[in-house]
Amino acid sequence: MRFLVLAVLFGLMLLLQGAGFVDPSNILARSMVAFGFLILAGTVAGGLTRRLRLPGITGYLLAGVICGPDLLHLVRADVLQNLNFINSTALTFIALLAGAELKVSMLRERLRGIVWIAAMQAVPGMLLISAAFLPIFSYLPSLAGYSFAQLVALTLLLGLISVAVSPSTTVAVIVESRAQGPVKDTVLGVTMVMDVMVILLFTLLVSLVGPLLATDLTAPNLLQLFLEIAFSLLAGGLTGVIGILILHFIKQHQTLVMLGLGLLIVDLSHDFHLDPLLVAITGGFLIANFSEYGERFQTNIEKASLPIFLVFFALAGAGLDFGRLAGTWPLALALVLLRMGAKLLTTRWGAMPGRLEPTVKRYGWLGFIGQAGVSLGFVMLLEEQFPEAGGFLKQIIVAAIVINQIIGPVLLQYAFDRCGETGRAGAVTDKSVASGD
Amino acid sequence: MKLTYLLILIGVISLVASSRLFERLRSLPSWRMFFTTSTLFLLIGIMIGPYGINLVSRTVLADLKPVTVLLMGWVGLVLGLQLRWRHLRRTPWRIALGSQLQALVALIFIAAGLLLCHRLWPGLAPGLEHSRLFWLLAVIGLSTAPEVIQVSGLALISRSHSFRTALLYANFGRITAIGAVGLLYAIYRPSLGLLPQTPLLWIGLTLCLGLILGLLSVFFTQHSADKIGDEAGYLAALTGMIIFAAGLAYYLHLSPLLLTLLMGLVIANRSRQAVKMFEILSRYDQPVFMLLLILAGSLLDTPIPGLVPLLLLYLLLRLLGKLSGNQLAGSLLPAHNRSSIRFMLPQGALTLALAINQLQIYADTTASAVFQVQLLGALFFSYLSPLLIGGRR
Repeated sequence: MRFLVLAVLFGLMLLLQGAGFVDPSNILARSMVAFGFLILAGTVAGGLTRRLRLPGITGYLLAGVICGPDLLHLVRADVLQNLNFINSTALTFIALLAGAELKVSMLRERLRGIVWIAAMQAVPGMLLISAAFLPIFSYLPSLAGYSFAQLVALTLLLGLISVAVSPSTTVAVIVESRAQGPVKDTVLGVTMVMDVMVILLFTLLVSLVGPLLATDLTAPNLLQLFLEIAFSLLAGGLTGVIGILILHFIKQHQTLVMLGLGLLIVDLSHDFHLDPLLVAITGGFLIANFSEYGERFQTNIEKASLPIFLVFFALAGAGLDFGRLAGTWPLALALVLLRMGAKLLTTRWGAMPGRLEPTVKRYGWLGFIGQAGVSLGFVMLLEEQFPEAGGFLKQIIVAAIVINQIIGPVLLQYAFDRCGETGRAGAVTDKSVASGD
Repeated sequence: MKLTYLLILIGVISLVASSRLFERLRSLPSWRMFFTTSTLFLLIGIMIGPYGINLVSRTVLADLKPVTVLLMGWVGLVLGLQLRWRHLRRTPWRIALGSQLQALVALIFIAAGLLLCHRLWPGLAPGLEHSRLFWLLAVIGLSTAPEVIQVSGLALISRSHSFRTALLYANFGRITAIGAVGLLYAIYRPSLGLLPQTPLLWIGLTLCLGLILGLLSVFFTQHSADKIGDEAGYLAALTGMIIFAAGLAYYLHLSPLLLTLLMGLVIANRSRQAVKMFEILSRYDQPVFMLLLILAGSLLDTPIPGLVPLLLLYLLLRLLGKLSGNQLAGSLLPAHNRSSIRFMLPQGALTLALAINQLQIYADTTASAVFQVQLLGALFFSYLSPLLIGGRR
């Protein structure tokens, strides 16, 4: 029945877009209609994937892909651009949730393992992918004019961007599947550490290998980056304090308040050149761990997370560039497979000195397949800095992200299912709700 | 000030105020009813607007259009969801008839009074489109605010039956006002670059879309109920429907309030989940209404020339019209219920939503005049009504 409803709404949208009796320049109105439709389509698709025992966010992503500019054109590129602030706000909300999921006790217990895995993924992982792609790049006719050193530089950049993971996907699957256990804790911790580590390494790498790819390079300033991270952490601390004060004074509609806080973080971060994800993660972490409102905060935002995930992943799906997949799928597929291999090996290598559980060694790597925002941000920067080489890498990486973002959530849920961690958090949540929080 | 900062500021003020003040307002002694819910938020809005610390510029109004359209869509749906035929048919016909009668009397008093005064004194409200001005003032002035009555009622009307009567009476009046304003939009539609819409086409389109979207919502949420079942799933589906419908109304220059009211009406009468949906949506009532009130207050701008006589005349005519209408309607009700509706004068969030809506549709000096008169009128009547009720106790 819901498909029928969607079909009617779809017909209505086609009628509006095609019949010519609407004002095509009215972008705000078109954005609202398209956004409403996307939410409904995401609800249907999420229900369908859940029925297939897949994560709901895979459904939301698919709904976005189908409605997006590459397939049905219901959500056009200009509308997507217009809805960008909603996407950013939802992402910041998810980052707040991610911070709240990180517990001091958990970090204390497995910090060693988390750092080992993150370090293994970042450096040996990058080198593995780079080494595997070097011979491939050497034989590509489109790169015939590149010297060996330039090819090494290109593959290193490709490797580093490829090891980045997606905190939003990880958090969404964790909350949706109510996972609780060592795999969940490790995957979450590594994802957060990787987020910062990869940004630092990327800046370092670009300043090292950048001159090989472009003579007029404006190399990123390392000091500036460190300051940006430091100020983001400070702003995150301030966000935490503000969040605690808000939770103290406002007893109702705390989810709405947190959404407002998310919007504020997005805007202020943009104005003051901070990393909104880092600000929100730090803020969420402080509220959850260092205030008496932590549990209530987490329960409230988790309860409201479904519409947020829906909005974020449906818009993210609509923004996935399927057009690129058509032209570069062999290279993209190779990258996806190599990346999976690298994640498998480096997670095991990191888990051994980290003295982590056998389940983490065996299934933990499945939690690092999702890939989205951070990598996309890097390729945009690369294209800006090195139009030719960056444009080439963008083709492959964006196509690979399309595949990774769709299979990532499925594999992570599979890992939780296999380890028996799915649904364990349900009891905790129910208890906290019952206790009046 | 940036739009996002402004929205956050307004949101935080409304949430802090609603969570801290609602409980206190309920327990205030009657003389302190001077600070009713709506006036307080309107005053906060005025304080951050051009008359206060000037955080809101004129350009913000245009940027706020999607937000206000969305808020109105929400308000319309919540109102429509309350119109269950099963409950309505149990409503004493005297209340329904009385409510319509008082609306008619108030409409005649305000519209005819203003037209007559303009005939006698052509200098009234110079440079404005008088016909639209007077009719819009009259129809928007029809609505009465149950939220103000609720606060007044809890403190001042002790008998629950009388209070329920007052609420029903006010709700009927609100629906009449929404319908009447919708009709006026159809008649006084501005040239919008769309297909030439006749008033009949406008009404037909609103009705058809409202019914279709309502039925689609019924089917959609019926299924969601089986598959998702929890509150978040419902909220997502309902939010999607509201955004879609409000966007459609915005797209086609229809009234979002009327469209979603019709949707809500269909859902209320066709869906088994209607009560659950109403409960979920009404949990967010307070911030939505507060946001509307503060936004309205912040949009109060430099007075248009000739506002004062127009305002005074409107206040007088509405007061007389409402008192006479309530008196007439009261004659249909049992004696013990009459006092509960006698001083039902206050205006609140719905009035202001309608006033903002017309301001955004027409965006001219006449629309500004309607908005300013309605806003100041809402303040005046929200003060007057509790005082009158308190004085008659």
